[in-house]
Amino acid sequence: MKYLLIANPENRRVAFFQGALAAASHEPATVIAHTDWLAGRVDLAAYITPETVIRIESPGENPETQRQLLIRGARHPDASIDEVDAARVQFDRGRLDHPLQKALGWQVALQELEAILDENPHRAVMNHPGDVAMMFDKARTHDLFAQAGVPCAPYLGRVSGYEELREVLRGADCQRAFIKLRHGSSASGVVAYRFNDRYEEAITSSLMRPGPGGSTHIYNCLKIQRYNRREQIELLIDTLATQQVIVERWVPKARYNGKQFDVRAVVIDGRSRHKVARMSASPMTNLHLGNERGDLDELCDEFGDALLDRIDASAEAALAAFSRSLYAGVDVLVTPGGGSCFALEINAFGDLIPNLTHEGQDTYTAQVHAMDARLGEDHLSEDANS
Amino acid sequence: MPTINTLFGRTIRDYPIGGDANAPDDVIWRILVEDYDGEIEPVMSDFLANHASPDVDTLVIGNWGYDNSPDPIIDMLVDHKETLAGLKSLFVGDISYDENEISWIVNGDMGPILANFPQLEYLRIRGGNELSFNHTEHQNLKHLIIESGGLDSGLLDTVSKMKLPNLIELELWFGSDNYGFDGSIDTIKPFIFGHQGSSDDQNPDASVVYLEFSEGTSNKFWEGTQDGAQLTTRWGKIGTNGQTKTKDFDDATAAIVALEKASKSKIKKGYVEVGSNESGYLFPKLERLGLCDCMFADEVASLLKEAPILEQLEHLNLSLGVMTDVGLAELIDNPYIRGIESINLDENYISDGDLLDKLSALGPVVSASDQRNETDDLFEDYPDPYDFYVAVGE
Repeated sequence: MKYLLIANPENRRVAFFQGALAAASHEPATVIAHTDWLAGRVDLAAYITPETVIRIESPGENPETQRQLLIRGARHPDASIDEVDAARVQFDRGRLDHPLQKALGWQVALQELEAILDENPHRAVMNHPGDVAMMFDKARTHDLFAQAGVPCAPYLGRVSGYEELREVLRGADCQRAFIKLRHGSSASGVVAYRFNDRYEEAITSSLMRPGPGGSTHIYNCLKIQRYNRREQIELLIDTLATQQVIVERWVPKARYNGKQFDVRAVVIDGRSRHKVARMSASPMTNLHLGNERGDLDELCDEFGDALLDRIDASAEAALAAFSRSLYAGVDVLVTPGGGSCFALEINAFGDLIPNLTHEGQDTYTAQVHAMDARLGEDHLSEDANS
Repeated sequence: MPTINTLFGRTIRDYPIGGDANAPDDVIWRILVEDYDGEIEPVMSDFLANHASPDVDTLVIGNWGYDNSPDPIIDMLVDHKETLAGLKSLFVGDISYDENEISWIVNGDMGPILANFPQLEYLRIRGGNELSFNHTEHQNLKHLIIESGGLDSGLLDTVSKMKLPNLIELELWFGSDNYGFDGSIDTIKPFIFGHQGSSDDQNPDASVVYLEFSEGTSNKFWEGTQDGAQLTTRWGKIGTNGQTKTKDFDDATAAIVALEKASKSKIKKGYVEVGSNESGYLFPKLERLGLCDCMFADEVASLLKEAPILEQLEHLNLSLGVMTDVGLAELIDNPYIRGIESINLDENYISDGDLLDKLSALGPVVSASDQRNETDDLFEDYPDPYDFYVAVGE
């Protein structure tokens, strides 16, 4: 067997995975840069043999990959700019710039990958591109969760803007909702919204700035913003909705020591394993926003040891809905009082949790071992030791 | 705001369904629902079935869920008003920030509490959203505390016109315009000056005389309200709502004459007028006034220089607001301030320690802990005309 890693080569995810392979005495993976295969500089099929195990990594954190996805997205019927304009887009750090077309480009790219895999016999795929595509689409993920009976934050559908949002919420008798980019991650374009007859509020990592010609630009901002004025909130939701948004009921999170939290659980081969509590003063718990990791032991002292079982069951049910995936990161919400758990998000690239081991393995090592076990490979490192 | 653990020096415990035989005799029960999808009604129902008795003098109601009103549990209390005839203190909404932020607590109508628990002395309410009073009189209430992230002017107007002749403590958290405070400094003025002299929307055709008679075992009141050509009289034992009779006259003048005649006859018999003292303030017996969580704390401090109510106050609470050194200087200039026993200025924006010392030197015990500055705010707010925020908004 030989691993083929389709990734941004400079990203630490690649180094972590190569490290895990080395620790298990596997050959290093061959790395194909997203930028190369997306630009057609590399023929992926030529790298695939019946012995190849394929791993798809995140296309994030690389402006050139993002530009390639934007260009690829021009092939999608919902594209807003053509390939020529897409190629000219200037990188503007933190800005939500055509996120929909980039996401569509990623969907197109994953379909192409799927077609290549269909035509080229290979040993295995860690996470199938069809599943990865589905996990990146929150609307389809919600439909899948509903079919599979996975407990999650109740889905209220897609909306075209603020007005429709209010209509949907009124119809659902709902005063608190999360509005999320349909294809988004890392709290990008996520809004926690609540209202009553007298006032309303949007809490978000999205910062609005005036763009050219009366347009509005949205930036991902590490500092959480709070908007209370109707016109601002309307502009925010309407601007985000041009990039397609979904609405979920805002289920409150349990709190501990004055902070609300959820739990990121990495599920590998059906088992919920690496878990980290994410404590936050705001409704956004993402660790990159400066939120701290919490101590699960303390949370169990507070909410009972059965809390872990509930978290595990919730995370495992979420991944089980994706039968062609070996692993994913699942964000699990714990309700106030700790009585119930809901799967909030599932992320095909949610396995990046440095410095956390479970049963002596980091997330990448655990995946390599799980893959070996699935493929019936005796563990190579054990062979090497014997 | 965290939930409270003690009240009047007594322990508060969350009420478990079925009760707890081992709880101390003087425990105060807090009725609440802990789980997100739980319901408070069964807890209240269990408490009432097993514990409702005239011995219950104090009750705390905690989190009743999200986005739903406490009206059903208030109704349950009212249904048990006879068995809860000893209830003197009630805290509705002892809900921590952890459970539900103060601005997003959905409250309800507290009028039934005033109407049905005439023996009540202490009423504390947290959460101003949808808070209302369909009944605004109470003969015995001594303490009224309303904690909120934003009180609307309609509610404040209602409170300013409540008939609470025995109120000694009033504390109001005005809150932020982002969370429902829709007034201005004018909305707050009645609580500084009373309604006297303000060209308010009070019905100029209505007048009220409230009299009390206390001698030996007799403690009764008489109240006459003339509104247009109608005269309503109400009388009974102090602490009850008494009986009411309404009589129609040919015109307003005839009704006024009848009111004057009737009240003079009562005064002759030894009744004394209560509720129209010299200051003309809303609550004649007030000793403790809290104008808290106020965006205009500096202006409030300035206006207090001309507020005779301060002459009768023992305690002034201006905490949680946007008071700067400017407001503090106004307090030092206040001719009444020497007569105040204690002043609470916690969680404002005061920075000048020398000024605080000056205020203390005038006599009052001053508390000024946890002063804030602009950068303390947890959230990076969108550029806003206000640089400072009240302590309790969201």
